[in-house]
Amino acid sequence: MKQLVNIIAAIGFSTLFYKQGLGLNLVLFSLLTVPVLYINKKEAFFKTNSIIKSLSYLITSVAVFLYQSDLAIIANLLSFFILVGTVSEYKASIYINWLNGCYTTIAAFFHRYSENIQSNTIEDSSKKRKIDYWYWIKIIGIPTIVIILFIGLYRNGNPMFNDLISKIDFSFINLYWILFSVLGYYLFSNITHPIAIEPLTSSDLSTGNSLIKARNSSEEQLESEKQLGVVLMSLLNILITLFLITDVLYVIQTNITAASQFSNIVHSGVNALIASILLAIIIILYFFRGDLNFYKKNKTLKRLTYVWIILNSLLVITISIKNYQYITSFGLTYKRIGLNVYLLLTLIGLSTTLIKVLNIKNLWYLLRVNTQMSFILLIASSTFNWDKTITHYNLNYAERTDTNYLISLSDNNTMLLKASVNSHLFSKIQQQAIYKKYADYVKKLEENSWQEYVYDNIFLK
Amino acid sequence: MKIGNTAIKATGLAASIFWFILLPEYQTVSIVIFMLLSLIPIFICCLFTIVFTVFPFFWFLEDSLDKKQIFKIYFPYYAILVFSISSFSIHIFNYQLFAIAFFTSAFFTLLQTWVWNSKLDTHEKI
Repeated sequence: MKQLVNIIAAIGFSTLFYKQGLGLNLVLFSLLTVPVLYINKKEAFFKTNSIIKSLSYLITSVAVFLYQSDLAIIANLLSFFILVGTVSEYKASIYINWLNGCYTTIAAFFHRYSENIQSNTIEDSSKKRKIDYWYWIKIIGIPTIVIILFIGLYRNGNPMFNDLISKIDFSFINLYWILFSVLGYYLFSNITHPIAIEPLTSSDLSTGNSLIKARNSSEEQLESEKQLGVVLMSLLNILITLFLITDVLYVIQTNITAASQFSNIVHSGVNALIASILLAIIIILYFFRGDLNFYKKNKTLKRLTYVWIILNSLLVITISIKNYQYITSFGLTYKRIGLNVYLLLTLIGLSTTLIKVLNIKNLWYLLRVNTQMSFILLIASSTFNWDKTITHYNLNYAERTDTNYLISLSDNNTMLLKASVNSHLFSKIQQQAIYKKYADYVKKLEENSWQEYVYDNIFLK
Repeated sequence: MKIGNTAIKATGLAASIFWFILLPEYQTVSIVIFMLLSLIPIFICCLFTIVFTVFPFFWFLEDSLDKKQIFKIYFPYYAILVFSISSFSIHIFNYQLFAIAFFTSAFFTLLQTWVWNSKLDTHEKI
C-alpha cells in the first residue's frame, strides 16, 4: 500500500514539476505531501506541533502561488524540511527538526540501506532477509546498460538489424521524465521514512531549558564575579544612557532634508545597535552562565541587567523612530523593511534574554525560542506582497518617491503600476517602461502552463 | 581498508549514473568510445574524492568508534554538505546537463561509498 502511494506520488511529482516553473504546482505538491506523510506516520500528526508545521507549510505554498516571491519560496523550502523533521521527532527543537528534515529528504534511503545491510549480516542468514536494493540495481541496471551498448554496436554491423531496431519507436517514452519520476520516488521514499540524526536528537531531547545548580561553586568566587558584574553593568548603563540622551537631542535639533544624511544617521545608529546588543547579550550570558543565577546576593546585578536590557530596547525604539521618519520622507524600500524586521528580532532577542535571567534559563532556551520566533516571523513575512505594499505606500503616502525603484521591483507590483500609470509622479519614459513591464508580464502569464499558474492568471482570463 | 576495490565499485556506479543521465542526449554509436574512455577520469575523480573525503573519517576515528558508529554520527552531516555543494555547483553551472550528470553521480556515489564502508566493518567483525 505504502509503495503504491509512493509510486503515485512520484508520478504526481513529475507531472507537477518536470520542466515547469513554480506556481500552482507547489500548492498541489504540498497538498500531496501532507497526506502522504500522514498515511505513513499517522501518530506524528496527532500532535499540535506537527499540525502547526503542516499549516505553516501549506500557508507558504499558497504564498508562492499568490506572489511567487523569493522569500515565499525560501520559507516554503524551510517549512518543508521542518515539517519532515517534525514527523521524524516532534519533540525536538526547531533547528534540530530542520536538520533532521534535510537529512531525511536527502539521504534517508542510504541510511535505511546501511541499517538493512548491518541487520542482514548480523542476523542469521537463514532468517527472512529484507530487500537488497543494490542487488536489484545490479541485476536490472548493468544488463540494461550492456544491452543498449551492444544494440548500438550491432546496428552498425548489420543493416537488417539496424532496420529492425529503427522500426521500434520509443519516441513516446521520455527518458528524462522517467528519471525525474525516479527522483520523485526517491524523495517520497525518503520523506515517508523520517530519520532522526543521532546522537544529536537524543542530546537535544535530554537537554532542558533550565539551568541546574552546580555543587562545587565557591562563595568567594561568586562574590568577586558579582562585584565585577555590578561595576561593568553600572558603567555600561551610564554609557548607554548618555548615548540615548545625545542621540535623541541630535535627532530633535537637527533639521535633516537630504536622504543621504538621513541614511547615514539610521545606518550609524544600526551599527551602534548591533555592537551594543551583541555585547549586551554576550555579557549577560557570561555572568548568568552558571551559579551566579542561584547566588543569594545577586539582586543588584540582576536589577542592573534588567535596566541594561530595557535601555537597549529603548535604543531599538529610537532607531525604529528614525527609520519611520526616513520611510515617511523617502518611502519604503526592501532595506528599510529589512531594518524593521531586524529591529523586531532584536526586541524579541532582548525579551528572551530578560526571561532567561528572570527565570534562570540556559543558553539552549535562548537558541530554541529565538529560532522559533525567527521561523514564525519568516512565515508571516512570506504572506505579504511586499512589492505591492512598497508601491502602494510610496505612491500614496511618501513625501518623495523614487519611481525608478518601483519600476525595477518584481512583477508583483505590475498591476498596481499599470493602474497608476497616469499619475503625475511618472515621466513619459517611465510610463513607457511601465507599459512594457505590463506587456511582458501578461505575455509571461499567458505562456504559463497550468502547473505554473499564479494568482494573477485568474484575473487575466 | 580496500581502497582500490571501493574506488572500482564507485567508478562503476558513478559512470552508470553519469551516462544514464547523458545518454538520451547523445544517441550515437561513437559515444561508446567516450563512455569507455570516461572510465579513466571517473576512476581518478572517485579515487581522489573517496581518499580525501570519505576514508579519513574511518582512518582517524576507527580507534575510538566502530564503523557503524562512525556512519551513524558523521554520515548525516557529510550527506547534507555534499548535497549543498552539489546543488550549489549545478546552480552555478546554470543547470547544464553535463553539470547535472556530474554532480548527481558524485552525490549518489559518495553516499553509496559510505554505505560500502559501513558494510565492510560488519563482515570484518564476523
